[in-house]
Amino acid sequence: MVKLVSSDKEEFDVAVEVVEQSVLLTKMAAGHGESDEAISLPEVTGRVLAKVIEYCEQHKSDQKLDADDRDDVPKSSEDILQWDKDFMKVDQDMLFGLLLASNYLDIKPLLDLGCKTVANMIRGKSAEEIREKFNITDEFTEEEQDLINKEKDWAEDN
Amino acid sequence: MVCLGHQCPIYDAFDPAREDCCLTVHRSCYSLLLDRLERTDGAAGALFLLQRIAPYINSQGVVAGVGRPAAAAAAAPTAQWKRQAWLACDPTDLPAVSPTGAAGYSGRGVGQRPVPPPLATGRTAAASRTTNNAWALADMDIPRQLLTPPASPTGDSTRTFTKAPDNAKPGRMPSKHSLLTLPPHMLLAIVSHLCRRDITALSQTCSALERYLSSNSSVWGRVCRMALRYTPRHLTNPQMAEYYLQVRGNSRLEGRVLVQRGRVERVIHHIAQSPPPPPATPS
Repeated sequence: MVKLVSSDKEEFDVAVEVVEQSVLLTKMAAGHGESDEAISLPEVTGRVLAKVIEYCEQHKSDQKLDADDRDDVPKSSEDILQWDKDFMKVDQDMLFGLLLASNYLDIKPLLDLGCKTVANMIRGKSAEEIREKFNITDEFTEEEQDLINKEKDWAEDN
Repeated sequence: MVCLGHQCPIYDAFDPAREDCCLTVHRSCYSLLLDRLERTDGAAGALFLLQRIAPYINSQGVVAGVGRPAAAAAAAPTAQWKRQAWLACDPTDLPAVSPTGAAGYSGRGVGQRPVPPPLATGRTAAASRTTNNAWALADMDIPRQLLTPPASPTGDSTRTFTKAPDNAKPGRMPSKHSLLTLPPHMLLAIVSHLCRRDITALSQTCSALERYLSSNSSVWGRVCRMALRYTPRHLTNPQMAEYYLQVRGNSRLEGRVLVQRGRVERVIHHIAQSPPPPPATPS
């Protein structure tokens, strides 16, 4: 077992095969060797780390794809497993927290899943709906907005 | 001073042996610098630089005034500070320059950023180097708004983008993170899953995303490489944008034609590179 400590000092005992989902944690655990010393993760909160561990537990027996193999798979955001879809039904704070944590811990499949989930949240929505969904402020001037509307009309005509 | 560590010429221009040579560099760039020195000068050169620079790394990750007399320079090099120097690489540390020219983080003064917690082990530094290589690839014309907060899940940064007032969205809890706080390469990965209509809509949400996804932006080449099996070369940014927006979402173009096109291009390249055949001798 490997002990992980989150930024808010929450401790998690995690099986080695779970830790191996993360490139960063694998390297860190290898460096610790037989030592019982906990691995400190100052960039990840306990709430997010618990969720990351849940994902890694679920996918610990997945076949690992080489980077080259992954490149051969056409990029699509519609091929998400049902478990992963349910896993990603979280608030946006958690969603972006997971994205950043997977980037930090170097868990490529979770990062891909997060990016696909956000892409799916954007897909099919208008600019106004995306703003509403992601709480983005529209700071365009009236002139810019007119220009955008013209471009939108042009894009729809074509 | 500005951080020069992410600029390639600094590796050649900086001479640690010269007393008047002055360098300011972020921690992340500093580790890249060491990598480069190790390759060019061997371990001895890198170690020498390490011994020179390490005492000057402050909590903001900035090395200032190397080569100048300073109290820290008097400190004898120890294994402890050498280790700390290697650990100082921060995955959230972006090479950015404030408008005044001082090295620091976008939109904030050097002294305003909370001191990042120390990273746990040397292996973090290796991981950070990978992250920062990605940053090095990121183009500098990415809007400042997108580069501003560090990619830190702990959200310890001060955001500089404007958010809708909380009272405008009754019942909605303000979120620590948002689409605009994501690091550029993650935003690119998200965009690479979208097609023309969705990208157009996304670009119309705010001026930062509009600039980021404009036809003149250099993100398109990278999005192409992320999303498509074949990426054409030698196109201008607008041409690449148009190419991507036309191809993405068209399964026929994406899946078959482009693979063939890539193969043909490779064969042509191979033929062009190979030496010309000897002239035929008359029989």
